[in-house]
Order: sequence, then C-alpha cells, then structure tokens
Amino acid sequence: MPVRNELISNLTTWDAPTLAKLHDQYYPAIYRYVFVRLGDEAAAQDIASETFLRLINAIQSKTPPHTSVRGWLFGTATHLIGDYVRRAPREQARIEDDHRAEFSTEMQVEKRLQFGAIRAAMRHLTPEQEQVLLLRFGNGFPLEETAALMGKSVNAVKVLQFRATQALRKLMQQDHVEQTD
Amino acid sequence: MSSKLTKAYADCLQALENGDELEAVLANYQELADELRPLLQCALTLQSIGRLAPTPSALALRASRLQMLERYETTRPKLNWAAPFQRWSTAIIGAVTLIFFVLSGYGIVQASALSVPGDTLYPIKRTAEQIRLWLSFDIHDQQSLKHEFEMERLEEIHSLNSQGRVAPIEFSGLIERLTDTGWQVAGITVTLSAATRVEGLPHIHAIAEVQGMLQADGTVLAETIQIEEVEEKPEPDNTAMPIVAPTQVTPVASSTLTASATPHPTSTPIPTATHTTQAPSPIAPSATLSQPTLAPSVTPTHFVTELEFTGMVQSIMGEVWQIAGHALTVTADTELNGNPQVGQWVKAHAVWENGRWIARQIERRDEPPPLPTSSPIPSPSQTHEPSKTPKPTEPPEPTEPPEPTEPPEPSETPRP
Repeated sequence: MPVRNELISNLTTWDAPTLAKLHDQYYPAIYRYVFVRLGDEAAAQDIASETFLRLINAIQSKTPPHTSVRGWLFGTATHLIGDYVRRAPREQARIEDDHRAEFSTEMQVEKRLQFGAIRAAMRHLTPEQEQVLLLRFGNGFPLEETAALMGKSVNAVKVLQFRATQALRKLMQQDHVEQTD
Repeated sequence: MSSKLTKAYADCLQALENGDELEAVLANYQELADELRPLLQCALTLQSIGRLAPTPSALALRASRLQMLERYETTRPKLNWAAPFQRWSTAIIGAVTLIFFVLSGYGIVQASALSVPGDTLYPIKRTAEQIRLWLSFDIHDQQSLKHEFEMERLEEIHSLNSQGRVAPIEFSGLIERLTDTGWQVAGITVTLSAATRVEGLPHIHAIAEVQGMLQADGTVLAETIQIEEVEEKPEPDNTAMPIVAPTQVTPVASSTLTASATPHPTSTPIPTATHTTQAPSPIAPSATLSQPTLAPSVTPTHFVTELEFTGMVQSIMGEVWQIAGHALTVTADTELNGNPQVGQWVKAHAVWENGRWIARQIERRDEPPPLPTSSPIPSPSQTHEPSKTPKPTEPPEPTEPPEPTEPPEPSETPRP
C-alpha cells in the first residue's frame, strides 16, 4: 500500500489541525510497518504512537523534517524498532514464535497463513534486508526515498533489494518444502 | 552477470510499479526471464503484506492522536512578542551599532546637550565642554566659553528644580548673601553642614564655586565651597560704594594722611605705612587725592588699608562677621562695644592685614545712620586746597635757617 507524501509539500506550519491530519494519514502505515517487523500489536501501537511524539519533540526543538515527513516517520519507527529489539530480544523472539496467535481474530485463515509464511521467512533476513523489502514492497517507497531513509546510494539499495528478495524467496521455498514434508 | 541481473530486476520492479503486467515486463528480458520471474513474484507477494497486516483499531488511532496533540499543546512555546525581534536580531544589532557610530561623533554630543546632572549623557556633555575649552586657544574665547558653561550650570539647576530632582551639581557665582543658616550664591540658596568644607574667606561679591547635592526644595547642600579671591580694581568714580546701603564709609586713610598734610617746608613728608599696602577693597579713598603736599616720591594709591564705616551686622560665622557686605575677622584684640548681634547696626573699624580685614572695633549703634546725601567721596570743596606755597601758621624757628632741598613743585599738585 503506497503512502503518498502529499502533506510535506504544503506543510509550512505545524499547527494542531495539520498534525492531526498527518497523524491520521501515516499512523496506520507506521503501525503496520512495526507490526510486520515485530509481530506484536501492543508494541506496534506503542512504537507508532511514540513515533508521532518524537515528531512533536522535533518540531518544538526546531528540527522538524525538512524534506519527507513519511521518510522521517518510517526512519524514526525503524530506530524505535531497533531500540525495542535491543531492550527485549528474548521477548521479541517469543513474540515472533507466537505471532500467528496475535492476529488470528483479525485475518482470514488463508491470508493469515500467507502472512505468517512471509513473516517467518523474513525473520531470517538481516535487519537491512527486512527493512528494504518492507519499505520498497510493503510500503511502496521508491528507490530514491528508500536510499535517503536508509542512508545509502540508489545503486546500493538496488543491490540490497535484489539480494533480500533472493534470500527471502529461498527461505520461503525452504519453509514450503518443510511444510510439505 | 549478477550486476546485470540486479539492474534488470530493478528495471522490472520499476515497470511493475508503473502498472505493467509481469509477463510484459519479462518479455523485455527474455534471456533473464527464468531468473527474474520468481524474484518478481516474490516482490509482488511482499506487496500484499501491507494488505495482509492488521490495521490499527480506531481506538488505538484516536488514543495516539490525542496523546500527540496533548504533547503538542504542553510543549508548544507560548506566544512570544519578542520572536520577530529575535528573528531580526542580527539586523537590529547591526542597525543599532551603525546608529551608535553615527551618534558617537557630533550626534551624540548634540544628544547630550539637553542632559542635566544625573542623566546618562551628562558626562558626555561635560567632556565635550572640556574639549571645547582645550581647543580654544584664544584667552577671550576661553573666558567666553567659561562664562557660557557657568550659565549652563545654572540653567541645569533650574531645570532640575522644575523637575524636583535630587542630583549632584556644581556651579559658581557671586556670593550675594551670607547668613547663619545659609548663603545665597547666584540666586541659589546654599546650605552648609558640619561636613561642608569651605576654602577661602567668604564675603559678599566674592565668587564661590559650590559642589554639593541639589535638594528637592531647590536648595543646595554644599559639600565644598571654594572662594575665589577676585582681583578687584577699584573704580575711580567709587561706584562700588553702595554695596549695602545705607553704609557710611569713612576712609581712615584720609585722616592718617591729614596728619602729614601740612608738611614742614623744610622737611620731606614721610608717608605713613598705610599707603604702601594694597588692599583689595572696592572702596576708593578718594581723600588721597587731597594730598597735594605729598612729596613726589609718594605715589598716591586708591587702595585703603583701614576702614571705618557704619552698617548692619548680616551674619556672624565664627570669627567672621559680615557687616554691610564686608567680611571682618574678629580677633581677641577686637574691641566689641554694646554686645552687637546680627541685625543690629554697628560702627566698625577694621584694618587690612594678611589678606583680610581685621576688626579693631565694632560698636553697636541704636539707629541706622542717615542716608548720605552726597557721595562719601570728598568733594573738591571738602578737599584741602593746596596752596602753591605752603604757609605754615606757625613757622618753625630753626636754629639754623633751613635749606629746603626739594621745594614742592606747584605744578605737581593735582587739580581736583
């Protein structure tokens, strides 16, 4: 689901109505991004909310996003995910093991199985591979914005997304073989 | 190969993002299609992950929004009226600096012209005055400037008085009145305290430089008063006489000279010592003009060394009595008759010694003397008519005929 960066071009003042509109536009995408990465609904809510609080802090400290609000939000969410994983690696592992149970009531069985397979495979990717796949394909970030968010060149992102896709396909194939066996 | 595949994969993804079908995209890369197809299918699967992932509940979204807006309101800086100035602070500082440099020359001096003691710019005003004095090489210009500045000091005091301000001031002017409670200098009442330091002998018409604190009531509490002794030049027409009327001044010099006014024709008159001392008194004993019989070596002078006059006691400050405008110093040798007090009429007799008038005798008078109907200057008719040939009424009888070596020259006799 591509998230359009519509607000930033017209964003000149950070007043409450603008911020509310910005929140409602990007909160779901941030939430899903975190949820895919962590597989924890509560953690996704906390980190998504904290992402917007960090935005307020940045505005009040005169260092608001200058180019891409979306990139800034996803970048901040990525940092918060990293902090969360570092703080509670064991809990993160437990959550990922039990991720299927987290959204059993939210999704249809078929979709849930597909999502679970992808998530299970992505667990074995490197954080950068996971991030580039989620940004490029999960959230529709173009190459240039992904490169800016990750602090890499466009060519580096091209290579990274190619290798990440290769790795994920291989993992999904292995998982599929294991499941059929 | 790998880089070629990487580039082809990226190009195919771009085409898919643009809406192209998978097979149409792979048709452009037939030699790599077998390798690209599973990768592109995987990417398309990943694109569904956003749709597969659960959406946040409306409750969680509202709670997050509310939390964010609360944070925004609590940390939002309050309205700051100085913000526009802070934004332009650099420009403002630059402008102020420029204005300062513009004013620092002629402008700031002009700006300080209206300042009075106690104002911030007042030291600049005084410094500018000093510089004007230094730059003035002509003595007349300097005197003119000094007078101008003295007038300015008085104007400043009047300005401060109108505002009821208390400020340290300094000014100079003629002493107009001397009383026990205070002085009148240039129209300003000057009060003295125990801490007041007075340098010089105060007397009427002396110039006093006063430094002190201007009070709210317009008086000046003096800290230091410096009396300038003025080298007064006696006026030949004796215009300085009516210092304090009614006052009768009888230059004693005339009487002393009278004693020798009748010289012995055979001897040279010896002038008394009173003639040789200059006294800075404005009172011109014109009686000295009536000494035609003096020897030519004796130069008549307009200064007197003795005074005898009648006037009112204006003030008694220690040993200094102010009588009819004259400051007389009363010593242990002064003869005081009738216990004279301030406000009473007295007849005073004083001599000039060591730069001041020493009172010899002060005698109380019950009534003021009548106003003089004529100038105390002896009229020509009152003066001794010199005769060309002195004729002593009682010619001496010398045992030997006198031989006048220097007979008086009638031509040297002054004509009244």
